[in-house]
Amino acid sequence: MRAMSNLKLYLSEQYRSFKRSRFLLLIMVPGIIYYVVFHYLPMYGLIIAFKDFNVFDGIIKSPWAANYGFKHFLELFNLPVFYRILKNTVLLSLNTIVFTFPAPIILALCLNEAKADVWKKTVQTVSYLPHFISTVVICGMVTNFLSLSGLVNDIISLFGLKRIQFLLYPQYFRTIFVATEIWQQTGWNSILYMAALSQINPELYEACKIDGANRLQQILYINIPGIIPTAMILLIFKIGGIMNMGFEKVLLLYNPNIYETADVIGTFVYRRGIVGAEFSFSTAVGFFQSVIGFVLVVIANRIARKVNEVSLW
Amino acid sequence: MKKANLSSVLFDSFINLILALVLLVTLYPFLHVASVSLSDPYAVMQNRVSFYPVGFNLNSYKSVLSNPYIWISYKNTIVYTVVGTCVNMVMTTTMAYSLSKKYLFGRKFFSVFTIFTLFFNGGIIPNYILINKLGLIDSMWALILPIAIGTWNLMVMRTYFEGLPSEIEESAAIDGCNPLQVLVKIVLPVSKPILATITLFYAVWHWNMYFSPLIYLNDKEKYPIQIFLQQILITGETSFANTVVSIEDTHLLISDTVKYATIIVAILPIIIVYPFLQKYFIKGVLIGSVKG
Amino acid sequence: MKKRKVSKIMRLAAVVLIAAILPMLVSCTFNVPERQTAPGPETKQADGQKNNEQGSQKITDKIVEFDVLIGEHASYPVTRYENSQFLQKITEKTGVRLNLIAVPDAGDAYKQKLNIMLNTNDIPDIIWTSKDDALINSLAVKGVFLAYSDYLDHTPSLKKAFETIPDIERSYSASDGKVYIMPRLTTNVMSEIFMIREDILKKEGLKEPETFDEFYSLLKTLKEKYPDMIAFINRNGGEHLVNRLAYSWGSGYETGTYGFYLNRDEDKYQYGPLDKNFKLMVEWLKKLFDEGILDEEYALRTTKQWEEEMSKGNAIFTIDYIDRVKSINAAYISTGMEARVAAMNIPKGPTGKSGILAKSAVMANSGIVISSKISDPVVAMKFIDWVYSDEGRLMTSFGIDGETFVIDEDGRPMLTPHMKRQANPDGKELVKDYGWIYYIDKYEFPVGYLKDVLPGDPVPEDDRWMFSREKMEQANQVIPADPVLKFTEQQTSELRSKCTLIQDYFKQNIDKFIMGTRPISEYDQFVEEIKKLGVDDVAKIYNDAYQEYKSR
Repeated sequence: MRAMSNLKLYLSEQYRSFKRSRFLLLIMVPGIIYYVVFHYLPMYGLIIAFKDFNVFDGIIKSPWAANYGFKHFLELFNLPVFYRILKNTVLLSLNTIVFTFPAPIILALCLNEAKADVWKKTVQTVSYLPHFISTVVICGMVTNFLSLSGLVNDIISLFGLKRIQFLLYPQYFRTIFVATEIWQQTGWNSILYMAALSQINPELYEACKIDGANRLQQILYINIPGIIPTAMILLIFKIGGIMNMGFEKVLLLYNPNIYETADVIGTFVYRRGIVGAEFSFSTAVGFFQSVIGFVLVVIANRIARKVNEVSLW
Repeated sequence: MKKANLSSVLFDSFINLILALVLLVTLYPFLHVASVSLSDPYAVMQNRVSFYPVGFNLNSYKSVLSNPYIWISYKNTIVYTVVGTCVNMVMTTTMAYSLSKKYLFGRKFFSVFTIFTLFFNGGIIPNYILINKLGLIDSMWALILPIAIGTWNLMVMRTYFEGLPSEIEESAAIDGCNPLQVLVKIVLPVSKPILATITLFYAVWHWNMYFSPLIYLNDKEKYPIQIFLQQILITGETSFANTVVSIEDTHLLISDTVKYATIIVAILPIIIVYPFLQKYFIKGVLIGSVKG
Repeated sequence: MKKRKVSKIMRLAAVVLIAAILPMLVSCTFNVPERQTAPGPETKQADGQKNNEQGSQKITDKIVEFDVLIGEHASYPVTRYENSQFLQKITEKTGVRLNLIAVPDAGDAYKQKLNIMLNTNDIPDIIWTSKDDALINSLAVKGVFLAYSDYLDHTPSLKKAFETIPDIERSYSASDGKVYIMPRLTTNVMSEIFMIREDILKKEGLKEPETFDEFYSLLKTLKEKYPDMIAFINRNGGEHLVNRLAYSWGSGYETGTYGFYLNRDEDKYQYGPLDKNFKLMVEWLKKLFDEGILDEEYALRTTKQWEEEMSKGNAIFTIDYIDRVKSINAAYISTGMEARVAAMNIPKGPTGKSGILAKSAVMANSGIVISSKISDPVVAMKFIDWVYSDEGRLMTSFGIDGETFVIDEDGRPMLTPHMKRQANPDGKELVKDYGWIYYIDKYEFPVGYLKDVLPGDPVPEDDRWMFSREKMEQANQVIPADPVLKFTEQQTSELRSKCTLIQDYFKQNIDKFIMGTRPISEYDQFVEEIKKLGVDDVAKIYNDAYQEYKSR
């Protein structure tokens, strides 16, 4: 009996919610159609990962891969280098996240405090310029800076230290990579935080000043909480992207001498893939990365919800 | 009083110092690229150009701008960007707004529904087959429709809408506005910062598109500027990933001055868009609407 | 109140309507109109008659259109048919109109697009620069492409090519023995050369070394006299360095086949780094590195950095493509430097060998493939035949006979006076003014075949390029390239899984040995380590494939 009435209550709640959201659902229709057509329909292609795809049979008729379709995954896990590329991917991503996450926030907070409008605009515009300079060019610059006769070595020799070919040694790679990311992306990534900061209610500042807070306290107690929702969402996304380490930049910066720390999943598959179009294998690898990424997002989302009440769903 | 001033001044100086450092460090790449594009090719080869031109000349720009395809691909890029961004904004805003309402029926479901697509997609082959079946190969719409909503942007916009105080919408509803009016007349004007930001993000996304046009377009007259740019930049670049011996003819190499001039020409319009959008990032946009 | 509400709604509706229609209006105005079938090219009867005198016949009387997938290099942009005199001339001569789908030939772009088109069955009529012969051949066998072998009766020039160059069928036929990819044929087999600063040798009164020991002494002497210069500079890392030197040391290392090479003395494939001579070479390189003769940054030196040092005159010796002689000396000439690089005879190694591997005469990385669904197979075949015929070769390589070039008394093509060349920098250009398409030519002439110095032109400044070429040819130090082998699917998948690992491991260790990070005494241990990755299995595969190649 109780169950029935609970059920009725639940259903009527749902109905009310439905009625109330009629308008919202209506305007969502084009978006939903979009996702179904352009994302969910082609998703059947994921089965390429479980098959031995060949173009003549097409996706549907290609034979299933051995080991209940897991042949390519097993091939991936059994690679002698699998542990290495997995470790490098995770470490590189984590390092990147830890160091590139705060930088745009700090920049946005600083810019927000700048008084002169022209100064503010100038710094902001210049700071996002590197984002637009093609990665190919940026990596060319980095390679030059790090060479024996390059800028970085010029600086350290001023301090009496010996010149080093940084790109030759595995231990420097992560630092170099992260520094390049910060250099290229911080300015651009701070734009979003600037938008979030401008949304903060000015009355809060007034109230704070009356209470006698100085500028630093204002930042800590108003600005930062104001951008936490945005920051959280971005962080969750980044955590989900750990496995998908964008490999283009690694490809441009690495060399065989530092494969130990620089070779990530993406670059390894790329090197192999040059020989032949191994769609099944690369799809399997991509699928593996997706599953891990999604699981990470679910976990991160749950944590974020508990800690901050901000979450993706 | 004096004490407060001193700490404020110190604080300002500190902030400005950081900003000045950021400015110097991030200015270099652009200055270098610009200087190389204006320098003598042999000076560039000998690496004598750092952040000012050596052997100033405009030959590279003459060479780049006299190529008719830079104008054609520019026109294409502008069209794709404008049309694409319009579609993006309409689709994304409507969906983000709906998702931001806690009372939305099936909210959790729809959220997962969209986010799931960020992680799982069938890969390029089924996507190509789909575009082909829809008859969109070699059409502008192949570059616009498949990315009508960027899920990342969607979520960011949704977060922003969630952060708006509900009073502004409630007071509008009390005044007798229907949901559409609430959205258009109340919510959107107050959301200028995020709308400006997401518009910028989408515009830049379209501007930078390279892979989709490469795969889905066949007619050279329709290529956007990134294809033109990448073609010039990547020519002659051998990376350590290149395990296949390449046959080299040096007459095929393109001088750095031309490459960098092309970069400048390709990015100039989009980097000056932001300063114009900055006026939407003003504080206190919210205040006016609540009080009013 | 109501009135205001209504007008507000009207305004809103107007805005929404405009927002919906405007994008469409914009796109309609700017849309490039549908590709129209161009009217037939204007037949200038007089010209047509003159050219047809040499016996070239039109393949077809009515115009046939083919969609062609072709790579486009940034230096040679593809021109639209309507603007290309060159393409129109082709139509005039053969009746075939080429609709080019130009894909940027930069990095992986072409390969990616081709792969996707092939894998989704969206195949253009003709593919002009195919790089994926394994994939294409496996599709061809299932009937996706036409076999040249089936049409040889219609294609006399192709038939002749098959007969004179047996490697076309031996290396590039599919598993059913037929040829589906018509490869690029080149007469230019020059590859890389040893080049040294000729001006420094002259100034010091030194002569070229005959052996590698003399070579070491020479470089050492020069390094002492010019301590600020890089005695031996190299780009693209250790793997390429050994590739260029290995043959002279009695071993070999082919980067294209993961380090496995054909030992012609013993007529079998082996893995270079296992040879004891290879170890001697590594020790020699290590000696050079320790004494500062070998560029201390050689492991990472990029092409740009190499160019920088060479063009500043900072380097003495290097091994690189012969074309670099031209470009480096051009830099010296234009900046008024006295420096010059020129070819050096390759010294003899400990086994008395000296040489460097050449390019193959047949390059299937670049070929022509015809879809079996094409509207007119015979016309297509005849057209490809024309490309390889005497008339077609000249035209696709040099432009329009009588307009951009003329045939000289000794049968060689010569630029016409109004064309751009060193004596006429403002002249007309093949691509810009005539719409010439770079990749269409598939039968390369020897480099320098086209005369670009006309009688009456001032003598051009010597850039030592021709001199270097002739020197290398006379010294007979260009060794024929390894044959191109074919593998079964099973062999291919085994190669794929093992070879990347072997190559990676080698690349990671070679620099360590040369630079001393890993003691050279561990070299034998390294050999054991790399063998564990399956070197013997791979060698067996190569040898099996080689036997199969010889039997054809």
